[in-house]
Amino acid sequence: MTKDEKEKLKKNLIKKHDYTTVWIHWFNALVWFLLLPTGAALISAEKYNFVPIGFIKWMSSLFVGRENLLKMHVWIGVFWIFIILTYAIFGAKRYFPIVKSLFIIDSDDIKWLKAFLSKILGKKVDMPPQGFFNAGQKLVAINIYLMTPIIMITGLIMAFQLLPPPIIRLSILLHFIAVGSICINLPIHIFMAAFYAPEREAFKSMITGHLSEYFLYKHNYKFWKKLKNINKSRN
Amino acid sequence: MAKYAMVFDLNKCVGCHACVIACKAEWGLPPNKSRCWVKPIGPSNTPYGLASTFYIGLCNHCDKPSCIEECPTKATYKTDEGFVLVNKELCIGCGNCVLACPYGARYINPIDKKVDKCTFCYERVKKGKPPACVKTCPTNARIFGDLEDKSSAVYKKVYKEGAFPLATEKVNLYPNVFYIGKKRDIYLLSKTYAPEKPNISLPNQIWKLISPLILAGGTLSLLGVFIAFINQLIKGEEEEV
Repeated sequence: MTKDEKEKLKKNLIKKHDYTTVWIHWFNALVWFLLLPTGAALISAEKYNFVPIGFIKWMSSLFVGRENLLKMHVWIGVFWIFIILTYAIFGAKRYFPIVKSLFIIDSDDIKWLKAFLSKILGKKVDMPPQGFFNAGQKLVAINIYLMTPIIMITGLIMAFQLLPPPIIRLSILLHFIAVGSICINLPIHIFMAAFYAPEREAFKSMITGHLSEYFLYKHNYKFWKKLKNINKSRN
Repeated sequence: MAKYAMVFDLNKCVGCHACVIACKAEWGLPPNKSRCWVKPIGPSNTPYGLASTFYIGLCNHCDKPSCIEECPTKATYKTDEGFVLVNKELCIGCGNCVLACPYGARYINPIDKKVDKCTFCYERVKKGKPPACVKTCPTNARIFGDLEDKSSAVYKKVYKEGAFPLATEKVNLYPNVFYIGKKRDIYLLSKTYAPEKPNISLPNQIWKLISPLILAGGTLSLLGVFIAFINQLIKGEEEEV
């Protein structure tokens, strides 16, 4: 690729995410920012808590009592479920093909994951071509898509005592495991999006919705090629 | 600081259930649920002769309550005066405490779906009144008072007349409910209703195993990110675009 071609691709912006996706992503991030500390502070029994007692006390005083902390956690959660369900139901037709593509892991994805490990450790490697999402994004998204319904359903069961006590007990455990598994991914997701230099443009695209064609060419080659073919067939 | 306790005089109880009815009326409990009970035991042979008595039961307001340990949200708590209470606003109705109580003193209220139990009539006691069951008992078989007060009837019954709690060497949560009566009746009661080891629900057992794994996963993830970040700082940012 010549320098001119490269510059041309850099200037050509392509829409990757629509504004609804951008908004829902940041809404989700805000809700997680609120639900995670309030939820962690609710598990206050010494035998089962996993955050320091000092944090639990601080959160309780911040919300003027654990009763308010629980109410906040529940009602933010209910609002979150309402918004996400609205998005899922009314956007099903539009977003289903994208979600479906997330669950398809091909041989390039496996190669990409191996190469990525070497790359993040500072080795120079060629990254295999990727589609609309790279394999790392796919893994995080699969985790989120599988765990989110568990978090929502178990949360509702616990908050409103919707099912008998044995199911509520199971819900506490499943809620914890589901949130925990996303939390394991969360630092990686935040680092890759906000701090990892080569991916910085992808972070910006979660604000503007747009990416340069050059970024797509480098990071999402299969998707870029598909776009090219569509354009060719149109012309 | 006062430390409240209750003593049941098995010699005086006639099993009339007035206490149970008074409790239900005082607290508006659902028809098939109760915070206290009176169960007939015997007649049975004991080493001390033929015995027939009652198991008068309620929450033992233990000094080391297993219910508090198992409540994930700490909805169950103990006051400085020894009352074990439930904060219904924090209770999520999981029933972990119901399983953990070796006396079966807790139940899930079918109306509000939250846990319910005897409070030693905390609200009444705070107003200087005796618990409803104590006030109602026609034979004065129930004695309530401050264990720290040497002039109180409960103090005398426990420390001078040898009232004993329903506990064993294996299961002793230091209950604050005591029984006094004939040797044969006490023997029969302890044999029939000895507390069993508190049950820990399977999800709570799994939680104990899984939480270190999740914490380790989170720590590893943070560590990996930290190494990658340092690596980027050392080698400089390589923006591909």
